[in-house]
Amino acid sequence: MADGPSTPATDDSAPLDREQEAEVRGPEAWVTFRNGFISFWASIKLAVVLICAIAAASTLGTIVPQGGPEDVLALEEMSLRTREFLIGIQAYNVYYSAWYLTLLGLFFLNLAVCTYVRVWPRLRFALARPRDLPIPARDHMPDQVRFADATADQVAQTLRRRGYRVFPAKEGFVADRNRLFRFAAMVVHLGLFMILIGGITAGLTGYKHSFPLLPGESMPTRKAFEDARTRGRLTPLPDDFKVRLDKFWTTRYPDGSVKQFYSTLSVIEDGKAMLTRTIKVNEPLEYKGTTYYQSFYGIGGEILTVARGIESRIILGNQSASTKLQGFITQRFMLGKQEVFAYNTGKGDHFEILTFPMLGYLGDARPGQAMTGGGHSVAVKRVLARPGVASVRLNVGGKPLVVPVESASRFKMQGYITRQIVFGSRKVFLFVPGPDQPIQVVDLDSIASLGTLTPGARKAFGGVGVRFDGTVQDAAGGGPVAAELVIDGQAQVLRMVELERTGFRVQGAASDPVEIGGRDVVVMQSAEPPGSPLWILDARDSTALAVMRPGERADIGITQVRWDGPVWFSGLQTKTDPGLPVIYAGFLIVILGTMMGLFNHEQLWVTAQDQGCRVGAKVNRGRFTFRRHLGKLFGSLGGQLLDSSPLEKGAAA
Amino acid sequence: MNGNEFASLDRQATGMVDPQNWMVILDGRLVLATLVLAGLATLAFILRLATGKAMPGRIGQGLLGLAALTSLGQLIDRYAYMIRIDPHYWPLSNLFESVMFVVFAILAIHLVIDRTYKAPGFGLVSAGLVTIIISLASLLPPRLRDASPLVPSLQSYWIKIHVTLMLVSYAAFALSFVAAVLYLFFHYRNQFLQPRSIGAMAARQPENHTALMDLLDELTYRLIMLGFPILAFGIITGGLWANHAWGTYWSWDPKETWALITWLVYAAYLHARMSRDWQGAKAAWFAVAGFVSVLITYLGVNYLATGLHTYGKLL
Repeated sequence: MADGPSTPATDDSAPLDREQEAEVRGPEAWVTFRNGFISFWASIKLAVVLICAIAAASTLGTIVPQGGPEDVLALEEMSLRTREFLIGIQAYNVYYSAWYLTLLGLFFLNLAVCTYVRVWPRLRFALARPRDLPIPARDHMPDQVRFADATADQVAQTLRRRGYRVFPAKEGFVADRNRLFRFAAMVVHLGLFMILIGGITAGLTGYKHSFPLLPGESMPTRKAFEDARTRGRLTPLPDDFKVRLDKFWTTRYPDGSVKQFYSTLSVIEDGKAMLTRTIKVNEPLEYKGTTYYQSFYGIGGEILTVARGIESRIILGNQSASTKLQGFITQRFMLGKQEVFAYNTGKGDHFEILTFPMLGYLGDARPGQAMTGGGHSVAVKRVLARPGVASVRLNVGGKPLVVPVESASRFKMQGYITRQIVFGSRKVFLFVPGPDQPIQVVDLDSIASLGTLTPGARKAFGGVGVRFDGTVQDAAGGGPVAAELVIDGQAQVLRMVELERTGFRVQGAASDPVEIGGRDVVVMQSAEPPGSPLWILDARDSTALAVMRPGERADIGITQVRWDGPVWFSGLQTKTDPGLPVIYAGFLIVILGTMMGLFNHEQLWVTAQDQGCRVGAKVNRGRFTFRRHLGKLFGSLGGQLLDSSPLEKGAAA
Repeated sequence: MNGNEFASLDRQATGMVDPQNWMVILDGRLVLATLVLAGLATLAFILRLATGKAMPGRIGQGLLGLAALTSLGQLIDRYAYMIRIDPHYWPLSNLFESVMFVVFAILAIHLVIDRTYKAPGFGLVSAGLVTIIISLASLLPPRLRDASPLVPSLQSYWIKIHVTLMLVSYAAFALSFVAAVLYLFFHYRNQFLQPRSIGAMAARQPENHTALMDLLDELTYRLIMLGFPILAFGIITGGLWANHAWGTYWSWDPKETWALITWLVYAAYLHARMSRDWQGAKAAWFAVAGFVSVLITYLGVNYLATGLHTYGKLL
């Protein structure tokens, strides 16, 4: 760099110590190899290249989602070839991929050789006394101060007073300050090594385990850690104790957002509670080398009380589920500032008012009983329903037969089907599109249509004559078509659609099917917002049997249930990391080393002259500040900073 | 529970800051005052360069000193108001507050540094930078400007250490960027002028240019030497905090990865300077790259991906 700044090269760039190279003895080939190896791997240029390579490689993991190959495949804005390439280089797991770790390995090899070569010479240098120099060399120092009157002794005195180490030399004195800080870079390197060693230790022995606990439940730590051992980790096993969740609660800000969450934990060892502590985020519990963190929480289940007085805790899966609801909804309408709609299961004239799109439950409205709340009201004036079919009247072989029907919507069909019927030698069921419309006879085994029957017609099936005598109507069985609601005093007719055709889903957590009141049901709650209603769905066809809010009762078949509210689980995490003290020590050393770099090594040579004296000075970095400092230091002694260097002209400009 | 939905919606709309409170009004006035002072300082420094007189430069310096005071006042005012609502509050709870803190740190570091290095143009670029930063920050939607209480994982004394250190290092790096850009400006101007300046231009003050560039190079270097340990300290306290809160000191979250990348780029800068081939303009380019990395860490990451540090999201 011919036109670059003329910064004095620091000692860090000095090649290997001559002495050290001279120490190398042995067979010539080995010496050549060794020297070649060292000079290549100790190179600072290689360090710059490797540091840049690691920095560049690290960016990849912040662009490509870190998870699995499927996350990369999901990046549809990229071409398929790019995605395949990214999967090929394990871009979904960059920081643990072989090539990234190789890069880190090369970097640490470079760091190791570089440190090995420099650490002792540097340490010797940093601990040494300032070096005396002959007068020509002193006069070549970048900064020169001349004293007309002050003697070398007076200058030395001033320097001593200002914290410099001053030693008498052949001609005058030699002084310096902050020499030890020349070791800064080496300290940082050593710290980085400690972090590496700690990281490897953590990788081999550390273990982390997340677990949700419901109040009263406990977690045997040792068992979880044994699990890590079986997977090949060298995790040290803790004593055999359990951690029990006694209580979990959250506090909220006035606006409803969560402020903090707390768990009271008890450590149980040999059947005795050893200690009880309340933890929160940022305040973990430590016990015998394992730490317990408050890390998440959620709804772990719902308490339903069945009328007979039996309390049952229904556990909703932690995994989010989504269920297609059955039933009917109205067009959306505004209630104040909130967009809402009304839901009807298709049976009865009872409407749930729900917010859109979050399904927040605002209340029920039924004829004669309006929903009120938040200064708003919704009343049901009337429901327009399509007539439906209750049963089919047949005449089989001369005997009348009434067969009840059920909705065919769970087969994604419009209309009704019957249970199985035996027509002579054939097992069949009937498909009924609507009141008094032609019905179809379907073979149960092949699901093939055997023929159509119009009302009053007779046909033979399986050797028996069958006559269709028409349907028994159910006034509202076809489901609501429209509802007239009175919204804040304003009557409004709202069209209704069947949910099956809207693709409307409840997202949230669902239970496994349970039996309530003789029916298999699934209990489900939408994930958002908090305080959403609980849906009790028919396990077979997802028809909503009830929508409840805490404390409310509902009838499931012949049984009445009450929802007592949710049970929260506390998400805890336990961890052990034997590498941590080493890493922390490494952190401390890195901070120390980088801070040491803030101090500059100043060297001064005081030469006595016939009249006054002269000082040659040098600093390893920050010459402008140093010159300013020299001016202040020697101003009172009448020191004259020589303006010969180009630097001074620049500062004066 | 009836009507609960509506009540919570209304609360969300109003927020927790009372716009009528005198301290909230003062907060807005102080931001405006800082902006105006920095803008006037920019004008003064332009005058300084245009006229070549020292007076406008001194006035500009004074205006920047006042701007540092108003921005410190703004931080204190906001802290004093919010601490009554939330005892864990620290005036770095969102993007706007952090930007205003960076502004204060830039002004403070500038004022200290400029006492030693009276680099021509440095005041102009610093003042211009601060003016632009505050103007852009004022365009942020109110949601990101109003102080807000902290989510559970941020309620820790570590936030005071970690975030403050990170932002101070960003401020030091911003100023090093300014010095590096000025360096590169002179470097390429000289390079550009030399072939045809056999006559007038080069002959006039060639040494002076070299000296000025030496000064800018040293300024870049020292500011990076200042930011480097602070950034290391910031990253490490972030690790300690994460370990305290979640049990993981490092999780390759985009923000922490970018902070590490930034640290590495500056480490590369420090090593590059030792090698004779990479001094001067190449080192200055490293300093520029380092600041690009700072910007990505500070602002860009929030667009890139989700992670643990999504609190200050722009969108």
